[in-house]
Amino acid sequence: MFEPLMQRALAEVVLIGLAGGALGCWVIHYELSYAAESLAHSLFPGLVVAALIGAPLLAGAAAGIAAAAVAVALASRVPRVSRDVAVAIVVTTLFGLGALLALSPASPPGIQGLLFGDILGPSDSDLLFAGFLAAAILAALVLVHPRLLAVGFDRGSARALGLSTLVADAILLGLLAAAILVAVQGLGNLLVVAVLVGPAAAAREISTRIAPMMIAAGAIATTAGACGLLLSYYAGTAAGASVAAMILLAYLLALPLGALRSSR
Amino acid sequence: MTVLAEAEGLAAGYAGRPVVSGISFRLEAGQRLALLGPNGGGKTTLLRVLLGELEPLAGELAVNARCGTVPQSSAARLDFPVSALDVATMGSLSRLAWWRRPGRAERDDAGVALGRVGMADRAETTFGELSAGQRQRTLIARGLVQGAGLMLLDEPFTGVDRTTATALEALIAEIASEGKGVVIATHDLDQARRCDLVLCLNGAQIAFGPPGEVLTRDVLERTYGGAIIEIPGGGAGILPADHCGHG
Repeated sequence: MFEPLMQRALAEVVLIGLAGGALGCWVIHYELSYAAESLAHSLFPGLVVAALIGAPLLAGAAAGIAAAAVAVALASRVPRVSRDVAVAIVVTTLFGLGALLALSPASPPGIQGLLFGDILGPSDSDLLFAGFLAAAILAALVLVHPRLLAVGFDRGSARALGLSTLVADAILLGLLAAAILVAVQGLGNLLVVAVLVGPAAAAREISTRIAPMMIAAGAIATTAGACGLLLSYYAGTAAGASVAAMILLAYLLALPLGALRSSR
Repeated sequence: MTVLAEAEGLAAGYAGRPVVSGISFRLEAGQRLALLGPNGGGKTTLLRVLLGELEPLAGELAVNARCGTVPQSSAARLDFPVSALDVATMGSLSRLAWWRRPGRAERDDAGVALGRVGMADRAETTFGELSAGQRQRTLIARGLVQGAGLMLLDEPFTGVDRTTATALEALIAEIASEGKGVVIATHDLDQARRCDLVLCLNGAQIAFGPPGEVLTRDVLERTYGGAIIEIPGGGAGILPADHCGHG
């Protein structure tokens, strides 16, 4: 019923929604929403440089994260600069650098897609890559589920249970970076956080256990994504922004349900 | 008797600076040890070094049992979407290889442990919706599932009413009677009195021994750095120095 372009966009939205929605439940329960936003912005120059020199985006993202981590560590060693100020300085600087490179007249067209997303533009190989990453994220989440639950619930007792908070945090941040990679193609660096936080926040309003919450978040994200695409198709609005708006709408619809549940 | 934990001249703290020092004690299987002291006196720090989270800064420490922890109620996340059964099941993770998920057998174990602590009928309740006493019981069940030989309880009686505290105490006594060691951080003098051993702590160890020998007026004044007031009808209460003037 839709042209191939639209079919590919829908496939992209499903992949982003499943991976971002499920992982997002851990992001909000580990209180990593701000970290997700910072991570997305600070790995941006890595993505742009990778796109400019034709390297895999994954390698660019990994280099971007490593550079950001070193920069945060160095900035927080400056006397009288607290850690959150250091993070803010590094994140805005790196994001500004990435935007400067991406929006330079010398950059080939399409690089801007990393900033604002180009959900209608994935090639078959882009889709294959996103599909592989999304499957890896979901498989990893199934594998580490009980341990993420135990560490997130009671960090102080992790060691007594033979678990490591450091490993749990590192695994989550690694998965977060992978999810950002899946989503950046479609939603762009600026809107990536919408799919990581919005559907999970909506799902939290309607479910009281994490496994059903992850399923609900995946369903909300894919439905909102498909609705956003249709909106953009028929109303001619920007695709990434339409998807983000639908996610926000889903959250607003879930709020009264949550209030109803907690009042019972 | 099996010695579960033993310390000699132990000091522990953060960033090389001791919060507690001069700690010497010995805890055998079946004994309950109360860590008695004011807030900030180093009770939680001592629990953390027993758990292995902190390295001793000085002295000797030997812990010969797997430790189970019952943190202060505020330390576990009340907004986390887990049931009492989920929490008790977490105890099994210490026995499973990292790639294995708790299965039917582990959940059955957790159900049995919840039954032992009187929580069988609340197994499916969300942890954050349980009362303070029920949350402590659930966390004790997690320690039982873990097969802990030494239970470390941080202020287990804070925020629970008298009846619940009495029931919790009975449960703790029962666990100790099965040959486990129990360490209870508390600032409740009466509860400390009913333990087998008391370690009074305020930055440094003030005294250690059976409550009948240790809990003298002089030791309590040095532990709390305040005055002791006589309560009409017998007994004594402590007026901690830092609480004076707060009504």
